[in-house]
Amino acid sequence: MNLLHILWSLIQRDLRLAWRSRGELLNPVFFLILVIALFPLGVGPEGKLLARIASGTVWVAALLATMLSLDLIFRSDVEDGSMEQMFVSQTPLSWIVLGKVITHWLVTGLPLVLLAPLLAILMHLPQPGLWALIQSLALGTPVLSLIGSVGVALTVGIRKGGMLLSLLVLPLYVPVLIFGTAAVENAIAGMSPAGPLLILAAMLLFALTLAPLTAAWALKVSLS
Amino acid sequence: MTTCHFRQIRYERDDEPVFGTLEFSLQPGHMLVVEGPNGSGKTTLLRVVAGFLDMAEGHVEVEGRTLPVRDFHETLPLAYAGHKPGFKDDLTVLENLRFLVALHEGDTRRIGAVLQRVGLWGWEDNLGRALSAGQRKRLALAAMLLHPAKLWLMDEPFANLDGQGIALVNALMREHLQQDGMLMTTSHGTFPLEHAHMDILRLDGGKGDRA
Repeated sequence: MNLLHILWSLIQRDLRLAWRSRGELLNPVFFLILVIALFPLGVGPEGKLLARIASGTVWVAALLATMLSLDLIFRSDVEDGSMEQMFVSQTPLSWIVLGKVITHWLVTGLPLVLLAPLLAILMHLPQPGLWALIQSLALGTPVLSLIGSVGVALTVGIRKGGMLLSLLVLPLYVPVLIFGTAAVENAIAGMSPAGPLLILAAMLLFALTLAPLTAAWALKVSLS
Repeated sequence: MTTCHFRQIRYERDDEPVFGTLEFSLQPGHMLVVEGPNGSGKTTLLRVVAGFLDMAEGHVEVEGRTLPVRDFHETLPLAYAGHKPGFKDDLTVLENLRFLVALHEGDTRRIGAVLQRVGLWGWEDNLGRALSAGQRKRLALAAMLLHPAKLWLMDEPFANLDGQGIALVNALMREHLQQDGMLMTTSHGTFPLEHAHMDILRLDGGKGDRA
């Protein structure tokens, strides 16, 4: 039970910190809304064309928005020595990573899921696709946060690790993108989106069990 | 808690030895002062003992067991006060301590008493960033006191402190040692504390000897 108490304290702390620097926090969300709002201006307001590319565009934008915010997971804790304190505590590091990923998802992934209806309207997403879009984002964005945590853990010791982080993480994001858009496409075409959604769920379980362990190990390496 | 013997401790950074083969012991009720000029690896040695540096070589004998030095930190609760603050600038003193107490499974009810002890009473609702350098050090001390830690690792514990602060650190160290705690600390000059059970480990760039 004590581990749960530590997890809860960590999430509480990180949410409070996020709230105190909410300007920085909202950047990825604004980025996402801007991209989606500019798209119809760029390709023309033709409903049919927009509807065709809607799911892909929303998913790509969500993926890039998540990438923008990945650095928030560990960087400040490494810089001010909080990570050292977490290190010397008797709490397993993977548990701490899990807490930080949960918070990261709450402040970056969850807003994307909640914004999905708005984005769908902006992109003329056909009605049947909306529910699938929400579901696929709800299952897919935690995977993005989890995979991202491994990448950030590896690059946090490097001063200018941004480019390297994208190179490491993007290839691993591709399957999420593929199955995320496939679910929406299926729904729009009148088929069941269950297949791709179940695969996303499987990816989530896989990442949930392995990513915290891997990221903890990577953190150890990049801090030494 | 028994004595921990550190054997053949070595650490290399980019194939350059930071310090050579070191032998030292940490005993309950004793303090070990690591002395040496700047760049001799004092901080690195502390970080090796804290388990931050995975590539450190050597082993530790504790209670008849021998284990690699990188696993030593798992054998006992330890507190580390380094150059970095270890708390968040955007949280208040109280919020910071509450989290650290939860993290280290300490006792929340002692926070008030500890704040009084380190002279931060009345500052508990100030943000970390609003504290002066000396007060930041005091907050780090408060965090250490709230630990159930057996071993204290303190890097330059007297930096940035005024006369009162130095007296406070001395008193806290003495209490910790009286309760059979272990203490390892660094110093680049004269150490402003005389203690009956003080061991000194001198590092001088690559070669270390037990004094």
